[in-house]
Amino acid sequence: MATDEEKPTADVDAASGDTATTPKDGRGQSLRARVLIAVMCVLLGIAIVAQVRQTQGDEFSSLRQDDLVRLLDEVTQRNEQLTAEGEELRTQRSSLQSGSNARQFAEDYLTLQSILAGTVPVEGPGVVVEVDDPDGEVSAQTMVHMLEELRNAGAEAVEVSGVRLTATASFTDGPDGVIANGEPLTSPYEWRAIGNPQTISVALDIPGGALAGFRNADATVDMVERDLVQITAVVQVVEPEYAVPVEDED
Amino acid sequence: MIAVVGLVIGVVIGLIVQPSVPVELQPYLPIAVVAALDALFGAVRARLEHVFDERVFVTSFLFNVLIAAFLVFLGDQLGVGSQLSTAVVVVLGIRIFSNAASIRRHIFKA
Repeated sequence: MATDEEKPTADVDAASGDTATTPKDGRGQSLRARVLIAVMCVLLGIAIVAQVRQTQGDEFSSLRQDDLVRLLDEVTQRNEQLTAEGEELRTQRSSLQSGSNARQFAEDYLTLQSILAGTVPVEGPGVVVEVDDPDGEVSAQTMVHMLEELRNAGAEAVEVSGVRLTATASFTDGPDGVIANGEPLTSPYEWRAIGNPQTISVALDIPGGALAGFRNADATVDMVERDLVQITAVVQVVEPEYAVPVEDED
Repeated sequence: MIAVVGLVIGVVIGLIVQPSVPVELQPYLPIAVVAALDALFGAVRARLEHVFDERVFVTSFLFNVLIAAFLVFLGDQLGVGSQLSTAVVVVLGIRIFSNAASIRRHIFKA
């Protein structure tokens, strides 16, 4: 209603309603009116520029409430998605960290297994036993006895005359002496064992023990406890041909 | 002619000074600008129809701007600000189009 009413009226206003009293042309008007028009147009230009800049400056200022609410919803939703994603990534990160713990554990286990299998040189406190057997009376049986006593005493790595003795160690009697792991040994035999020196020395020295066995074979035995015993001999591990691990382990 | 020159000068000044719109005027300025443009188109049409009156132009210019701003203000107070703004813009747009059509007929005789 209002617009219908206003429209023609304003139209006539703008188009100069007082047609009768208005001169035919724009000429001859007062200077003041022209200046006023110029000033108004200047202001209009400034206002247009200001408004355009304002609109470009802030993309939200021209949006309506509904759009703003929708935008806010979208932002909130996006925020929730990102929060969930961050949580997931955090979980992955912690699981990866525990994975690196598992890796560390595996490396420790590998080190342990390498020491036990005799594939790496090792050093540590232990004992060195020199067995001088000029008559060649020491038998493989005695050597095995010595090795078993060392193992009972908790020796973690054992070597005799440059031969690393592991779970697959073997002693046999050869024509010129004892053969260890297929390597012929010659007197004097030098045993090196890494473990608790006191425990090992006591275990070897008990009556009827390993050292007594050597002495019974007319060999002279010299045992020294050391803070640092180095075992440099290693063995080549052969790939198991028949035995495979049971899959059930985790 | 003087209006066009004034408009150009105003745009140049605006670009140079780079004025910022006061917060209180922000809702009213776009509508006021549209109203002023409507008055300007009406003036051009009147000029072409040889019925231009500067007094009427100045009055209608100021009055249209004030009315438009007042309508927006009223709409804001009544809680229908955006709708009333849209209504004012639509009405002014229609008027601009009809004025532009008259101008076109005068210039191109078609």
